[in-house]
Amino acid sequence: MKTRAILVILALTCFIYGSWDYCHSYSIDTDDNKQIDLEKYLKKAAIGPERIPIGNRTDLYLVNLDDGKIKRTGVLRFTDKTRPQYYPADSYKYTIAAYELDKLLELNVVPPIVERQDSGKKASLQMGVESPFLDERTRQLKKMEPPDPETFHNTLDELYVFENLVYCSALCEYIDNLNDILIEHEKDWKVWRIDLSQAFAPYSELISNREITRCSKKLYQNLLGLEDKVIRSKVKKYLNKDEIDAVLKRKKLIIEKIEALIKEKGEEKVLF
Amino acid sequence: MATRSDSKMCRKYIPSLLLPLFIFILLTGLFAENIQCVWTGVERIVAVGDLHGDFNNFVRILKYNMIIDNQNHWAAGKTHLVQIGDVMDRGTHAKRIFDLLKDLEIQAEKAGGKVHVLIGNHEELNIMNRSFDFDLYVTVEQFMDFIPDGYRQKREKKIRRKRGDSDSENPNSDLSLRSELRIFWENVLKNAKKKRNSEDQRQYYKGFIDKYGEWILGHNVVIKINNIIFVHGGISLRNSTKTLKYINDHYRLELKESMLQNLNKRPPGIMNHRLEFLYDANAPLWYREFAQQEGDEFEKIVVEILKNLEAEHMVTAHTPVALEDAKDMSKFDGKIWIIDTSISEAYKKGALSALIIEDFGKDIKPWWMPRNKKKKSAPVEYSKRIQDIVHWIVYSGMPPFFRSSLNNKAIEKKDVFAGGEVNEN
Repeated sequence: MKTRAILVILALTCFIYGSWDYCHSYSIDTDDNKQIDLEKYLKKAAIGPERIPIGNRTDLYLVNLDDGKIKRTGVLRFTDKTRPQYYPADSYKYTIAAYELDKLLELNVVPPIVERQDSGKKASLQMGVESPFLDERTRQLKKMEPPDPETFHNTLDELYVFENLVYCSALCEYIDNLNDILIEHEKDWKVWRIDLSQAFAPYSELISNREITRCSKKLYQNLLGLEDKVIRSKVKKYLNKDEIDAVLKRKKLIIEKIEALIKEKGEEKVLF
Repeated sequence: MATRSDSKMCRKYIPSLLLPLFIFILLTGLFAENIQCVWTGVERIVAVGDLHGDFNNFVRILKYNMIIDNQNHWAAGKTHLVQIGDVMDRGTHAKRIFDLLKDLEIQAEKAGGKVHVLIGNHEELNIMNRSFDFDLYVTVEQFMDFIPDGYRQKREKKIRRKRGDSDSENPNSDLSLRSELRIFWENVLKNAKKKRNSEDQRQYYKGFIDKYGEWILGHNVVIKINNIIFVHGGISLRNSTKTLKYINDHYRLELKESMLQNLNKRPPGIMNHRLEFLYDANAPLWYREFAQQEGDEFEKIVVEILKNLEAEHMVTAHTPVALEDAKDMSKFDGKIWIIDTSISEAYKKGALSALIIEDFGKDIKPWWMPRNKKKKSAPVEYSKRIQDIVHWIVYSGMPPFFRSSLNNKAIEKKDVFAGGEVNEN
């Protein structure tokens, strides 16, 4: 009798623990703010053998991830051609640096990403966007508007500020990169910015075709409060000195631009 | 009055000022280089798609279409041959194809014809030193072909000394030595792919650039012959508003800069202008929309692109098409032709193919035949002779030895080019 009671208690404990663990893990899937949990998942999950190449010039694959509880899709990126040695530059390190800045600014537009080792090579592993999505170019072509246009366009305005900070690619004067803005249009119109492996060109200027016109109060305050030494410490592993200096100069330029806009149009028309 | 220290200063600084100026002049010289990219009044054109190192299949296509004779010499008179890019990677004999194309360029020119070797995305990847990033691209044969001879001998020295052999290229060389060397190079390549920017990788790159870099960059990305555009990937709507000369000059310049940078020959800060093509996913060497899109809406875009380019058709490759019928190579009512049919044996399935364009661009016919899956080890020349005889009996009604004098005109090709009828098996 006593043994049976112990067994029942043990079974119940296992069930509760298992359920809690399952629910906890499942929350990774649904809660956008659980970036740390997602990073843990990305570091721990086994990468499946099947690889679907999705890059053109970049060694980039869609892969299956499994940590024993949850199966997800990841994006594995090997290419590591950094400045100043390579021209044009393209590195998984730039995507990680962009994610670090995204976290510092509390934007949550870059899918979580970590550094991993795979097939004897260093790489980055990023969460794949799994719900049906469309890119911003398609949305514009099809003239699709979200149910809540104000929130959506506010997010895009914030994204443009971010893209100026990370200098989304070395050729923003020619290419609009709208294909790299993904929108989960069947879910909640959440916006993601992917493919930042060519970012951080060492230019001390803002991007002409991503003109900053508005900004959220929160992002503006975060930019004002973000110390240079904090940025340096977070990205020094992935960027060289020139690239970091350029980020800091662009941060200054963005703040000056917003201040000038406020002066010209009034705070209520610029900050939301 | 200039003092001695002034002249000393001048001597010190003038060379450092002259170097950037010299490089600037060199690069502007490249811009000014007038590489022709438009031709008119061409009666016959033959276009061949991605080859990916398959020398034998390329030769078979050229022989079947009477572009070359049995000695691999130009036999097509005033015909223009277009090889639309992607000679390199995946397969084994890119170097042999490049060498053949180089020879044919000279021979065709003499005969009043022309060989157009276009740059493909795999040539771009190799010039940018990016092919090593991908496991399947650089094969051991390609690696050994492009690595400089001196470096190769240096690396092989130990094995050869052990075996007492000095020349691995010698056909009488010990077979086991050659297989040992091959295994050695396979391991070198495997490690080179894992270790980024290794010495072996650098030597491969240097060897490739020394032998073929400048030659490749002397060619075009996009050309127009008569009313037809030829380009590896395709011209997007945005790029269609630019002139062909602009696209070619700028693409070449960007590739050249990348090459100089990779060879550590580009002084930092000199060429800091923005890249227009090398980052663009829809650049002319990478564009895939023609293969991926369908329907009337996109056809309107195709019409607009062709209108901007003042052309009636565009011939592209880059995205393999599965051939079941000759029609599979054409899209949007024949406005677009896609001629990548996985010619190389590096692909599991595929077909030999070419696009035959006659009557000054008015008559476009695809030619194709299934790839030989299991070839006997008979010499290529011997099996080619059998093919020629079958070909002659079935279609031409004329002995093969009369063909070269016909300048490719007298043979009724309708059945031959209808697709699929000619089967070697």
